[in-house]
Amino acid sequence: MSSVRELDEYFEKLKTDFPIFSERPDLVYLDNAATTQKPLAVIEKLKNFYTETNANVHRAVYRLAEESTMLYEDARKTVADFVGGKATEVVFTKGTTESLNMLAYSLGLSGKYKSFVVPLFEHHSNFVPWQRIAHITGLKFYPVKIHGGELSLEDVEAIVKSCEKPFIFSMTGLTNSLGYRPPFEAIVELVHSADGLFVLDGAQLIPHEAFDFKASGVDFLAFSGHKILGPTGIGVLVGKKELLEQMNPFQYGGEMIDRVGEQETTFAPVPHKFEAGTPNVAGAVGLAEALRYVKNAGFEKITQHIENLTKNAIEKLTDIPGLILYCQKKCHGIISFSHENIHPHDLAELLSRLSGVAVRSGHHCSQQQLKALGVSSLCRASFYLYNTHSDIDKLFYGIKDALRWFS
Amino acid sequence: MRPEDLYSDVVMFHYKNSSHKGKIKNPTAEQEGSNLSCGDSLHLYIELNGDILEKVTFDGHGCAVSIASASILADLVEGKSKEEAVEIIQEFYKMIKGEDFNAELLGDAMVFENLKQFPVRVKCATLAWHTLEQLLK
Repeated sequence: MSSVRELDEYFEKLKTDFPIFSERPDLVYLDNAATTQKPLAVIEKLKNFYTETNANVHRAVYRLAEESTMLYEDARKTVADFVGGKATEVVFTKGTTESLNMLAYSLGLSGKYKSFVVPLFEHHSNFVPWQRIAHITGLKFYPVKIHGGELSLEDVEAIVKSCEKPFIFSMTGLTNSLGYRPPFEAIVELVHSADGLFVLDGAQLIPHEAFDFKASGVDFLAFSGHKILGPTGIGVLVGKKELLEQMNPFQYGGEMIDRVGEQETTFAPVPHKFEAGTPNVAGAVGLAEALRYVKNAGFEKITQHIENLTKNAIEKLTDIPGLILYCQKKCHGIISFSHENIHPHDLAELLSRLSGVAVRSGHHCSQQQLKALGVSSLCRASFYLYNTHSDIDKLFYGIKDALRWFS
Repeated sequence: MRPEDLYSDVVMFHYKNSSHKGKIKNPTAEQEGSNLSCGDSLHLYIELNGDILEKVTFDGHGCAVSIASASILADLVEGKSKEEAVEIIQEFYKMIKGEDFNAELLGDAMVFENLKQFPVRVKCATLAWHTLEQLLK
């Protein structure tokens, strides 16, 4: 394993692959849990797709359409390889939110399941769809209570034992508000032994650590392209093939059909039956390029570098009097904080105006999580591979400068 | 767009030293207002004497912009009739939108004239004003 400094130098070089940082040399971008910046390779890939290969997919027989279709299906293969699944198990969506809505609607309306179980620290995109579909269908909805920002396995066991079955358990692999990594591996087993399916929201996890869909045993995985250097508007739902085959489509239209009769329609095989309408072909191609970039950069290095940055940030920020860190036992690449003298919005505003540091402030789309902490708003710094230890220094001094305004 | 444009002396003064913070024991009316997207909430209390807003106070939590704006609003409308208060609120909205407005009515609230440079903070500055408008309806 490389030293902290070697990794920092390695990623400082990679930072030059990201044009936004030469356009805005003063930018200290620490809002990666919201979205990541794009390397030139991804931007070029999008441009090249539109200038050289643009055509609709899976329809026409002319050469251009063939090439476009091949690129799109190659992208699916790249995604499948990246997460340890099969190409037939990969559905392209708009993003994590659409993937999770697709599951909630399709599984909820199937009549096969009796309840949904979801922890309270979830991002709203993995909470509200289940809550609403349960409400519409009359299924039971069980929120799992949290302690601060953490889950207790005893609580999970109790709910899994007592909930109406069969059931769906949906949970994040890494919370977007506090960077807490719940023990999902153990929960997958619990859920499976109790006649449940396990859905993993990988929006934050997938960019942060290597993941193997098959080995993990999860039934479904959802994630977004834009949080892992890819374009916005493209995301992924990975599902075990036999489960996807049993499910009804979420949307109906072109591409997803087999035979359309006057009264009845049959559907295309998976994954295409979940991709109604013209898909985001350029987005898929761009996402594949982003995943290649991450792979080439070295996933182990990325994970280690982000852990180093997080550790450094926790040490530095702990030294600021009055600053409250909302770290659970360990936070992974995401640090939420507040200060007794200044509202998170004012702190974030001044960090930006005085020091060029971009952090998020607000409830981070996780109102129940903030309620459990007894706060209404927090600042959040989140790191990705192009961040360096000098960014942590700028955050540290930026907070001190901001505090001077409010002293 | 310097920080001073947002966190001016006037804003910081009202944020730190507002004389309108706190509850009124037996208010004639009260109203809760919130910006759910940022988690800010404000509770406004008024004491009416006939048609006149004799006393206006607030509590709750919010950023410097929303607290200062609430304090400035309270200063402006205290001692005014309901009708005058509504007029002041409308002039404030016009200013925020960049339309022509009557500057004579707005006093310290003029510090928010350049708020269009900080578009995401508009909802902070208008929270108290929307809340009072609701209360006077």
